[in-house]
Amino acid sequence: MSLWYDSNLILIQSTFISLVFALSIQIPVRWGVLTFGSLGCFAIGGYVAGILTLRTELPQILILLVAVACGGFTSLLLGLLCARLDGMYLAMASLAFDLIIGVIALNGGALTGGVDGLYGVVADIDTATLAVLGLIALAIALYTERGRTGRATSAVRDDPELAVSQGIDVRRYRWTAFLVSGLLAGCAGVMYVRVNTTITPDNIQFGALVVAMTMVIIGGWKSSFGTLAGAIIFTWLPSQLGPFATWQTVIYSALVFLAAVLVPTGAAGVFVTLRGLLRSRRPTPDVEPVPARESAPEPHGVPPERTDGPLLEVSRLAVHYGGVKAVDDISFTVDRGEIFGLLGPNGSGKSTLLAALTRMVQPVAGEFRFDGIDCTHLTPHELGRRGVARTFQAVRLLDDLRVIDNVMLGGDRAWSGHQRPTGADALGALERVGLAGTALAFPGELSYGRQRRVEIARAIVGRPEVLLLDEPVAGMNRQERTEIAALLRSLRDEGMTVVIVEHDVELMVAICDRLLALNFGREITVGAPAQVVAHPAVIEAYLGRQAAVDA
Amino acid sequence: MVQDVLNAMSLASIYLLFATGMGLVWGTTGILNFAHGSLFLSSIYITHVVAQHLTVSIFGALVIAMLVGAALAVLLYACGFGVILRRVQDRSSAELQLLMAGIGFDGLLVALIAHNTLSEPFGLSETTFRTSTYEFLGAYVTDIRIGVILLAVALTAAIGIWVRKARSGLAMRAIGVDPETSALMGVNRGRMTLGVMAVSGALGGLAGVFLVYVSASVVPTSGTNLLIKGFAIIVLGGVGSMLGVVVGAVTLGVAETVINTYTSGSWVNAVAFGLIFLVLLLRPQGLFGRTEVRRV
Repeated sequence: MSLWYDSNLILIQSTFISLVFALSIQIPVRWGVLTFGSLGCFAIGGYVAGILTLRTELPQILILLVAVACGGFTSLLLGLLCARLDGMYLAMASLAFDLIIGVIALNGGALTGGVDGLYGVVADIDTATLAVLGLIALAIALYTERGRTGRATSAVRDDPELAVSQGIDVRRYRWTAFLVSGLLAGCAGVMYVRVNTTITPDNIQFGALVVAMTMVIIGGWKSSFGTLAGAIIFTWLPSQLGPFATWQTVIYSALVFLAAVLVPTGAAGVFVTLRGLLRSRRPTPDVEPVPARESAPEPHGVPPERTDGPLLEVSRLAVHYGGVKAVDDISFTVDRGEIFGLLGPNGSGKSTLLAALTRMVQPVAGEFRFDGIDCTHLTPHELGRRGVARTFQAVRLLDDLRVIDNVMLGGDRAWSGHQRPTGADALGALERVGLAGTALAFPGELSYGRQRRVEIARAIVGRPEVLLLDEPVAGMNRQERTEIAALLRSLRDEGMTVVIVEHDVELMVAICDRLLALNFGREITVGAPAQVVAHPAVIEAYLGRQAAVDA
Repeated sequence: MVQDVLNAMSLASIYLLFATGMGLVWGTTGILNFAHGSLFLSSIYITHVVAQHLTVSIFGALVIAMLVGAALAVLLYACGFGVILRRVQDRSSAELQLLMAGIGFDGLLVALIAHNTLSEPFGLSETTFRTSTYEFLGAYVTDIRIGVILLAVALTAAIGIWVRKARSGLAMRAIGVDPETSALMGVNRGRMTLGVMAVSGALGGLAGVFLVYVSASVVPTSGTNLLIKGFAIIVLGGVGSMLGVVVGAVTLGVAETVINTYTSGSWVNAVAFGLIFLVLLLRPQGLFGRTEVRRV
């Protein structure tokens, strides 16, 4: 054992360095921030640690902290420079940043040692310290992959707009991604210079990034354990290649290409798929529809203090797209505990109105108050945290998360009452929409109508004050529609306020307490459902002038 | 002064050939081809190898390089990008995969060449072409520099006119704006995209041969640097704008010549990289780019 340990010491130590560096790439990518700035931050960490060790008498732990902090700071700076960039633009810009750091290292004169780099940096680090640093990095990665943070990072990556509506501050996650990536990369740089006693411009070439990316991509970028596996495999593989060692880069590049084209989720993705196949042989969990429960078992949490007056007041709201007045001078109020319907033909401004109320679009005029507080200028995620929940016109579920996690996302940040909803609450919400037994399925395995119901479960799990529904029964059959109508009534009876946009006039008349009819962005009439649908202007808007005359 | 202008213009012309191909693919398919630098490098390398065994004139070298560039680009699309675009559902995970496939393909070609050349510089001194130097307004200029300027101007103008005026040019722009609708309007998207890739690779090959004749040799890592420069040029001009590519290439050529003349040369690569940040901060859509209109 000890002989093996001694003869493989460099590889063992390199594994931890690779792990930390690979995670500094994997974490931002998994959060949807396609930055490759890690290489530059790795260089900063390594050079700062090297220079401080060679030129000062500072204690090693202090040098480690300073170098890691420099990595994090540089990464934040990069994030600031690239604040408006996404996707490939961000990837290329961050790569340019890496190359600039390389040019600086090359031209740093005596400070960075120019082409020769720094050497003779006294090695003063033991494997245990490296292991601890590696485990800390892995712990951070795993923490951000699981539970509440994991759900949030999935949402931020796959559907930022959805994330915002669930009360997640997307920009804060972006900054955190840059910071964590920079800190880890800086740490990897320090570890590297300690173990190798040298760092040169050659070590911070693009090729180093490709090796680390090989670990991330082949291991599976959505899984931190996958990255761990990748780090181990690709640190040890070169020593096993024997006569093929000179082909290392060729082999790695070919693997990255093949993985990107054929198995984008990497080894971890294959593992998950295989496990899924094995599971599916066993008896499947009950996914038969269960009729929606008429009433809740018990409302969870204590309702917040109520103030008097209407819950939602909209006054003279207007949204324009260029010259198109999508919503023009709309005013209405919604009382507590009522179901308020927005009715109108296609293009009448219903969805835009809903978008304005959730702050997805910026109104040009007017304001709206929620619970007496002006919310016209709140950021969308702040609004999400104030008890405004919504569903979308098209299904927006996160395909990577199980149904139960999709539902829990709704209660992670946005909830009314005193307590964050638990898994049991999420199961309860699923049961209420008639989907008990589907908790462990993935959204892609459910029918369209059921996916819509998962969305409703996600919206109600946090017991919002007001629920905004955008065509909730589209794509559902008659039976399902009846169940949803019953569910909405029971939610109202528990005190929830519902604003609903829907084309199914019959359903709207049946469940709404009041209706607002819109056409061309303007109000036609507002009032009791029966009166609204009998209004000549409403009939004209829906069926044309002749029908209105005939009526 | 005249000397500096000539140097800047010939450098800009090589950049222009390289970036036009890259921008063409980016503007029409939305793919940032990360392997474009390796197409450029591979065409030089294969031409170099062929010239070791056969007698190759400058025209032969240009033809070989263009064929190699085009063939590799088509191969990359057929086995890589095309497969990803067919299989992937949403655009955001496609971006990571396209980028990774490009990086993998790029790394594969560069590593193969580095393995065969032992990372030593290589060039096209085996071809029969020898540059001749002329005196022009007190400046010395080689025929190859004049040639690349003329060719770059002519080719860019031709492509610009083709994209604007020809039916197939319109079809190409259409798949850039809305692939599905243009497919419904009878544009053969697959064939069109392969064609664009082939043209792009051929332009990369052209740029490669001229760069080697002007600067004598390249090393396996030349491709990545040039890739970032191509990115800088396109970003500066604005994605999808031919005029933008021209202005971007000239700007970078002039800036690098100035830096080369007045400082020690090793900072020169930082110019392009710094330019990227400057543009992205001040005018993210580029000089001639359109701002994208997003609907709710």
